[in-house]
Amino acid sequence: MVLRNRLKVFRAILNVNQQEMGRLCGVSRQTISLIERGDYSPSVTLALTIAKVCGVTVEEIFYLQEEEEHEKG
Amino acid sequence: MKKDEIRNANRKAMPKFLLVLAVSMVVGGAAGYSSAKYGLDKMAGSIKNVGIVFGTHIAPWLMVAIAVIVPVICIPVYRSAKKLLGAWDGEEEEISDEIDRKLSTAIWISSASLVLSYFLIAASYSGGFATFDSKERTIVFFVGIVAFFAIMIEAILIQQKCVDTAKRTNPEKKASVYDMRFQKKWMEDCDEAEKIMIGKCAYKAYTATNTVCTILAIVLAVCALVFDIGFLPSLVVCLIWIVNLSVYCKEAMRYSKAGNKIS
Repeated sequence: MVLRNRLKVFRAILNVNQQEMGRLCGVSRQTISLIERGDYSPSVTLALTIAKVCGVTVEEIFYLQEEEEHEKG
Repeated sequence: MKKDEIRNANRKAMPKFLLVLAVSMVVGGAAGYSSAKYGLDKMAGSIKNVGIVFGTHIAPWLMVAIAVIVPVICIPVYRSAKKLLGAWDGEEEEISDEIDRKLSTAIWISSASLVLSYFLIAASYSGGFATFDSKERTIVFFVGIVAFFAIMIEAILIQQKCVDTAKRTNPEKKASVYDMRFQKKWMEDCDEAEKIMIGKCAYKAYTATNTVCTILAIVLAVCALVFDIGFLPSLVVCLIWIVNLSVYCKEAMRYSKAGNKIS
């Protein structure tokens, strides 16, 4: 299973750039970039913080996907 | 892991380990035998002379070369990073990655030059007070000292400029390079992802240092026997090795108890 996310979509809804999103979540711009690219799986604390900033639940942003499905995508 | 699995894993890895051990013994034995048979110990004097020639005639000029080459490489790299930063919209990831890569390269080169200059200044001292017997050698010696200080100043300035530029792309980082607690403060400003990356890099550095220390300790032990270099080089290598191991083990024990609640 691979952790995927819709952070870029929710960030667009909030109309903020990665720098601003990082500031709102208390992390760096690079970390937001890594999460969006799927190169970093955030801690539970950070996932909950991101969800809170976006005003949605964690499951709406982060979801698990089968490995094969992920590779096809 | 069950007891059988542990035993099997050991059994599987054992032949390679024994092979490395056997090869090392053969190489060590051959080196010892050759040194005794062919009188390699007589080379000790000529090696010392080569060292003195390197220290008094080459090392100072190498420092001058480093003092010139480092800014020639680092300043354009830094300027190009700054130029990219000026054109960066705050969103394009490829550009920000390129900025980070360029700044890291400049910091890496300037730091490495500083380490190298510490070795070269020690090498230029290796001639001892006999250096001052000749006017020409005395001048070269002081040229080396000036170059050494130039490298130090350049390294500090290049690192300060690069860190300040990095702080513009990372406003959450507040530490100044002139702060005595810079590394601690920089680390405190890093988030969880950055701390994981630093941890991974530090582990790689730890294992590399262990490997280098192992090889150097063996080589220096053989050299002490064959070339009469004394035990000081081995002492220094083993000191670095012990500090590396001890700090790692102490921190590992601390973290295994406290988990990720400590930074």
